[in-house]
Amino acid sequence: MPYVSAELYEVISLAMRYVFAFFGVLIVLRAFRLMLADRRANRSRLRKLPDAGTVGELMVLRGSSELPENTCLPVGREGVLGSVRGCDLFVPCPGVRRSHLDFIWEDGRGLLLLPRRGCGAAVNGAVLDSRSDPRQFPLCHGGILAVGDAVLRLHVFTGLQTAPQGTDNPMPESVFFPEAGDVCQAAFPPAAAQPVPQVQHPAQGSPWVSPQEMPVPPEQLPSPSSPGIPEAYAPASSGRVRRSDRWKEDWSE
Amino acid sequence: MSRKRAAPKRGLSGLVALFFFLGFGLLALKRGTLESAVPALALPAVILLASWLLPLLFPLDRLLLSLVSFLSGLGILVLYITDPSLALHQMAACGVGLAAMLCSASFVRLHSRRSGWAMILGVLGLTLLCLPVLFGKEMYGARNWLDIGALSFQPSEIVKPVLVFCLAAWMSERRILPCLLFSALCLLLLMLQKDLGTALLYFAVALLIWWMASGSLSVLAAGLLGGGAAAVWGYHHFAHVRRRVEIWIDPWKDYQNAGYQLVQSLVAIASGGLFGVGLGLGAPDSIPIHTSDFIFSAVCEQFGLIFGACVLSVYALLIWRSASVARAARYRFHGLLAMGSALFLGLQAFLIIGGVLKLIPLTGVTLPFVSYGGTSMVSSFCLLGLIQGVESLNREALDGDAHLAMLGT
Repeated sequence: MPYVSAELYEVISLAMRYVFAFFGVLIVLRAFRLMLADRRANRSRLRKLPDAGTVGELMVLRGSSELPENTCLPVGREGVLGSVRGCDLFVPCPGVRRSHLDFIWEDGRGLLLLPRRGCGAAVNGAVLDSRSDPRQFPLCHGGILAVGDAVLRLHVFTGLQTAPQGTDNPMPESVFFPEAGDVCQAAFPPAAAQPVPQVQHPAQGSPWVSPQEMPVPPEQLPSPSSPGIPEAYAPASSGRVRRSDRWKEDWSE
Repeated sequence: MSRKRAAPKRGLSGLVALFFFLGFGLLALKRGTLESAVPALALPAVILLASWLLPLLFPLDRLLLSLVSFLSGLGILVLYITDPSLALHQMAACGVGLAAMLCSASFVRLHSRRSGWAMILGVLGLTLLCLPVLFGKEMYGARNWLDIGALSFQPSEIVKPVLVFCLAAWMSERRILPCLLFSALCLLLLMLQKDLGTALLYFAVALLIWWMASGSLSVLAAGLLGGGAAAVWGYHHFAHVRRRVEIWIDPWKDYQNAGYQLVQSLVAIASGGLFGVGLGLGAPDSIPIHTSDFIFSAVCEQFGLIFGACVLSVYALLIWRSASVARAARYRFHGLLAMGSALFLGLQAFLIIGGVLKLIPLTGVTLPFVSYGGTSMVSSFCLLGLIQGVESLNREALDGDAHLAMLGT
């Protein structure tokens, strides 16, 4: 190493102070810009994936004046269903408490529901309370959830697997593109237990229908006599609310 | 991460490496020996290698890695001015810390939804906190060090990531009782060790995690009221708490004894001015405990207040980035885990920098990633690993969503 006298070192060190301060500012600005760029990139990516973070949607079969029928509520992987706007699933209906139940998505099983203490819910007719084992009653594709006066139907997005109702084991690969009768059905007694429209792989030849676009035939809705489900209901209109409109109407807050 | 997105972050790592090349190069000129030139090449090489190699082995966030490498390198540089052997130890601690970061990130990915792990880790953490009460060594008024043979460490530092993991796991499942019990026992054991700074940190983090999980302002208000009442009680019953507050109010009253640390720190910061006294000049060793608690004063003396503000900004960016990771998390547990870790790092930095600058009463905690201390370094890297683990899970989930969206079209 070259020898540098103390005087010369002092001069160099004093001069380098400005370089170090410049580097400090540069590092911070660079990191800040990268963070903003990442944020922008993530936002644009999320704009292209409006359903990111959700596993499906709960379609309102019977709601209230604040929650019209056929409204679709995006369902995340985990959250709280309740009657206040802060909840992940906002269901403003009589009988639904502020924080009514917790839900969590489990791959291969379905949507597990954990009602809070003193709250109840019915999954395909089976009544759940805070002491029930949620794994015994997973809400699967096409399953009906009754909570308070509201009746909701789960549509799971393509590619996510659920278990058939009542089984404890994850469903096999065939669920992904199911054969007839394999699809998880609403466990309503025989008259109402219509098969849910099937999701078919494009390779199977027939026109492929995504679960989001599946129609809900009136005969498929649960009968009024079904256990755990309140009075009869009928959808106000057969048409679905458009996805873009839905976001504006229900999730503007 | 695509090559296109990774390139600018490697540019940031390059900038950090160049900064340390210049810093250590300047100090090598002062020493004039060949050995002194080794860190000038070794540290930038390690930074570049880590920023290039680690994300290939594990899906790590490069930006977080670059920010942390800047802070860790800065600590090593300041230590090198006064004692090169400490700098060497610190480098070794950084290496261990990196390994710990990879381990904790892997742990989050593998065992993310096992509340059974929280129970095991909680019991282990409490056992570790009990040890200094029974066999601990007293240092700076707190009995929080443990000597096992040649190894000396602070269990309260190791328990930090454990606390975050346990609270996040239990709160995400709304299991209030184990959460309350664990937090209360941790605080009790820390009070028995007289480690009030760490106890304050634990309390603040537990309260904020609790608030984030419940979303209830009344919980936060009750916690703050309880904390305030405990602080008033502590002021009246503990002489050293009263002395800390008196020093904070007027350190010049007894500047040769009780207020010496704070006065020296303030003098050092003031003497540095805006641009510092110059690297290798000045007298950083005149600041008491300049290697750990007061290292920020030494940084400000050497590099100046502008650079000090940059260090604060780096911490702010670190917390911001971690908060973004927490917000993007798909599960409540992951969100609480990332945010709890960020809070630990941020609050710890705020407590010590605020104390050193006389904004708040001084508490004896280290500056994360910068202060000398192997346990502190490993603990900070573990917390960073928890954030990195959640970030990698977020990225995977988003890729999965993109895949599902392609299936659905």
